Order: sequence, then structure tokens, then C-alpha cells
Amino acid sequence: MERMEEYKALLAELEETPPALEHTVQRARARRRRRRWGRGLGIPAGSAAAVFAAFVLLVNLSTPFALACGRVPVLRDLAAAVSFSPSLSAAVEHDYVQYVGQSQTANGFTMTLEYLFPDQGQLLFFATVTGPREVESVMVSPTFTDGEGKALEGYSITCLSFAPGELSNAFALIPNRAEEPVLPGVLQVECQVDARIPFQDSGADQTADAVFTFRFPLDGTLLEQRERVEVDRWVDLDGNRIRIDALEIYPTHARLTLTQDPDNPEQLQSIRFYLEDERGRRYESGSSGTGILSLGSSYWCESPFFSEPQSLTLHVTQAVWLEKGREYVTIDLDSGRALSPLPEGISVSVHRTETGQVGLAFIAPEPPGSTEEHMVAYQVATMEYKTPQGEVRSVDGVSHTHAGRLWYGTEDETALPEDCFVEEYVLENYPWNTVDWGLHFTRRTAFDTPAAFPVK
Amino acid sequence: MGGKGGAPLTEQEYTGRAEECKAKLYRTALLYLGSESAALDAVDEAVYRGLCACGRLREPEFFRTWLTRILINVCNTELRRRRREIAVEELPETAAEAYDGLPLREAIRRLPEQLRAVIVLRYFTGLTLAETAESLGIPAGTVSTRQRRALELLRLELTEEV
Repeated sequence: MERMEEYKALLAELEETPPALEHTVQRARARRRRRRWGRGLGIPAGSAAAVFAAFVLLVNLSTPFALACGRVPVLRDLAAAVSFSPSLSAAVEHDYVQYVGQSQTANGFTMTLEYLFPDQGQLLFFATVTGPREVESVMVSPTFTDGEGKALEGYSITCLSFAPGELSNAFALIPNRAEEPVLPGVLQVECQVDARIPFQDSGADQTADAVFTFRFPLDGTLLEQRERVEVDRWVDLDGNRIRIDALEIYPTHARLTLTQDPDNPEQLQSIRFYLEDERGRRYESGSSGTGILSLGSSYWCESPFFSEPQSLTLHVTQAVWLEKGREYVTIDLDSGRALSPLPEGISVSVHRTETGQVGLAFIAPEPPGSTEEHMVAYQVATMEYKTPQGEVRSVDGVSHTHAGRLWYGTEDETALPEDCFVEEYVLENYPWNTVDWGLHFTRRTAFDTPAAFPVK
Repeated sequence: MGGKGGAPLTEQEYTGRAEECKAKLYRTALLYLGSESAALDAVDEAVYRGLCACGRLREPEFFRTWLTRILINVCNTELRRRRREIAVEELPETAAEAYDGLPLREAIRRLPEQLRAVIVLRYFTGLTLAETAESLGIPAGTVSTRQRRALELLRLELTEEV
């Protein structure tokens, strides 16, 4: 059949709709009625009076919310900016956004702090920065104080570099105690903007920066949204005993807290997992808002907050273990060989210079899903090592490459196997012939069939 | 229907408009996701999300593109979920011959996501070039470029006019 005939036939075919489509809008209305409107306020759901009271309460007592109702522009741009994140998209669709809308200009840069997701577990700030045309990317480093200038304590921050002019997830504030965060009614944030300008003719990188300070009230009612599901179940995972403590559900992320049996032969280093609800909807591991996979004993994932699932099952797809007693591998720096077992599939390569610098490379097979366009690596070792005298030291950095050759241009030049990546460390002024290098894992398990455990 | 001059949509106004465009939403979702059940789920989710957010829509003239944007996000979420389970099904743009051998519906489904979005909205949902740009949050020029490329790959001789 000619393509145009196919097109006409397909158009005709698509004119038919299934009977179930008839009641789509009714289903949406019914679902909305079932939503627990008063959840964050402790007002019983299912009461029209309660709904109205809640709205009046929010508008009259919460200036930010009133401002939000009155002046929030259509959230098209934000919806596009968070389209990569199921949790943030759901938050936007459910109006879980505080509009800030403040803009400042200095030193040729303009920063607009646009939106805030007031998740008490991770406050996410979306901003736009514009500057000189030659700026390739920008990074905003925030410092938080309360409305009176007193430094905020007990939090961490994450920040990402992003392109000028694009509404982006610029930085996040992560309270150390998410269950009871100490956040002020008025937040002040000093934003240091560092711009990256690629090589100039002089051959040296140049950076420019600007500093802006924004001050705005925090919508406390939106902050108080969290659900904790107690699980308290011991399970056997890949030969080790793990207790699933609880699932904490926040509007833009969820946290699975685990406890490991101290008698386990291996330490759980990380897991990849998803939660699945009764409708087959999945919530993948990792917070797409901040990129955090885990924090302490809590493992983060996308949030089912707005989906209101009746049940949730944990499916573990990968577990990474470090065998107790094998936290270090001994490497002979003269021969470039490991003198104790390396994890399966891992090899090592060494390059020493006359100045005492040692390059140490762990060569590892690429994980599934790694492509030329999107290269993926995983952590093989740590930045910690021990000298032959047992002194524990650390290096400042690590690099991951997918290059074809190691130690290029030297006598140790080595061709890398295909489908491998390199995790490289550099030791300065290291005179000894051996080193005990810290390993991140001794075993990685990818489950053909995910290990499944009910959570809710 | 109401929603004049910046006033938010009421639920009644929203449901009326959603009823009018649900068939086209379904058509879009079906071409995106390839199955009736998945398309119904996606439309259900999009209409629900739109209902929850309709009070924020200050420019009702953008209703159709706004709700279409919600649907596209829902469909993309589902497609990303699927990609974690199975190998990527998309064909590269350079594989023109590969598209020739496929039924049109399958060929559309195998288009790169950016091209598929444009072709579905322009030629199966009936959005104008400007409406498509609005729905996808991209410039009209980008829509024009992508639709031309998609039509080339699909060997469809359809007008590229607005």
C-alpha cells in the first residue's frame, strides 16, 4: 500500500475510540474527589466544608500561598524544565510549587530565582541565569541564612552547572533531619554565580562571577507534607540479611531506609531498585530532583506522593557488596599487578614517573546501557589508600575515562579492551613499591528477576 | 465557554473542554505508546492532572496545547520506564531504508522521540505549527525542521503549511 493510502487508512482507523474513553473525565473527577485534600493540614478528607476551610486557611494565613494563587504564571516553562523528572512533573501538575519570581542584575549577569519545590526533604530551586554571550555554562553556589541573617545550620546543598538562559534545577537545600527540619519562615540565599567561558586566545580558562541575594518567605504549609510507612521486615537479599525499616514519602522524592545485620559477611554499598504500585506504575531509584541515590542508610527514589498508591512492592534490581576483610587490595607498583584478589572483571594498570608520581588505573567493564552517546561508569575503588606502614591517606580526586589507550606517549602505554572504562587515581611523591588501595565493592549482582518485597 | 480575560478555569469549564479533546488526546497517546490500554491509561492520567491544575491556567486559549503538553509528559514518562526494561526501539534518522519496510503506524512509533512528537501532533492530532510548538515548548522553526525530516523518513507527501 502506498504511504499516502496508509496514512488515510490510519487516520480512519484512529477515528474509532475504545468504549472506555467515554468515561475518562468522570474517572478523573472521581479520582480527584478521593484525594486527601487535608493531608498536609490534618483536616479530615471528604468534607466539602473542610476543603473550603482549608483553602481559606491557606489564603488568609499564608502570604506565600496567597501570592501564589494571585500571581503564579502559567507553569508551562516549569513543566518543560522538569519533564525529565516524573516526581517533579507530578508536583507541578498538582501545583506543589512556590513561585519566587525575583530577578537581579549585576556585572553583566542576570539571575532570576523563579520557583521552589518546598519539599522539606529536599528544597529544589529553579532559576535562570543569563550573561555575556561567550558564557558556556553557569553554576550557582548558595549560602542560606534566615530572615535576620543568621546562618542556617544542619543542611547540605547540591548544585549543578547548567546552560545560560535555561530554566534549570540550579541548587537544592537538603536538611540533615528531613523528618523535623529547622527551616525559618523567611529564607535568605546568597547566590554566587560562577560562569564558565571556554578557552580564549590566551589559552587559559577564564571565569567571571556575580553575587546575588534573594529573600522570600517559605510556605510552611507546603513544607509539612510527608508520609512515613513503617515496614520493619527482615529479608534475605543476595545472601545477606537486611531489614527494610520504613519508606518515607515526600512530594518530590521517597526514601527507603534499611538496616544491615552486623553479622552479614558483606557490607551493602548500594542498590538499584524500583517501587511498583498496584497499577503497575514504577518509581525508580534515585531522586531525579537532585540526582541523589542514597544518603546514609536511606536509598532515594521517585515519589509516589501524588499517585496515592494502595500498595507498593520493592523490586531490587542490583546490589553492590563489599566483603568484610577485603576492603583493600594490595598492588605491586613495580610490576603493576594486584597481589590480592580484585573484584571479578576488574584489572589494574600502573604508571610511575621519575618524579615519584604514580598513576593507578582500575579497568572495569562498562555496565549495560552504556553507549558512545551516553557513557556510564560505576565506582570501583575509593579515594583512600594505606602505605606499607599502615598509614591511611587519601587522594584529592578521581577521573573516569572511556579512552582507548592508557598512559599515552609513555613506555607503559596500554591499549584498553573494548567496552571498558578506566577509574584513575594519581599519587604524588609516593616512594614505596606497594600500596593497599580501598575498594568500593567486591561483588556486584544484577538480578535477572528482581528480588521483590512488599513495602506497603 | 468561560475563562475569559485571565480568570481561572472552573472545574465545569475544564471538564467540558476535556470532553471535547479527549479523542484527540487518545489518538496522540496511541501513536506514542502503541497499545490501547497504555493510551487509555495515559489519557486518564493526563486528564486527571489537568483537572488538578486547571485553576492555574490563566490563558484558556492555550487549553488544548496545555493539556497536550501534560499528555506528552505522561507518555514520555511511560516510554522512559519501558526503555529501562527493553532495548531501545528507535531507529536512527539515517536509517531511511529501515522505515520503508515498516507499516506506517510502526514506522511512526520507531521514529526518534523528537520527530515522533511533531508528526503525531501535526498530522494526526490536527495541531497547527504554532500549537505544536507551544505544546512541545520548542520554537516554531524547530517544529518545521523536524516535521520535514519526519515526513522524509516516512515518505509522506503532506503539506508542511501551518
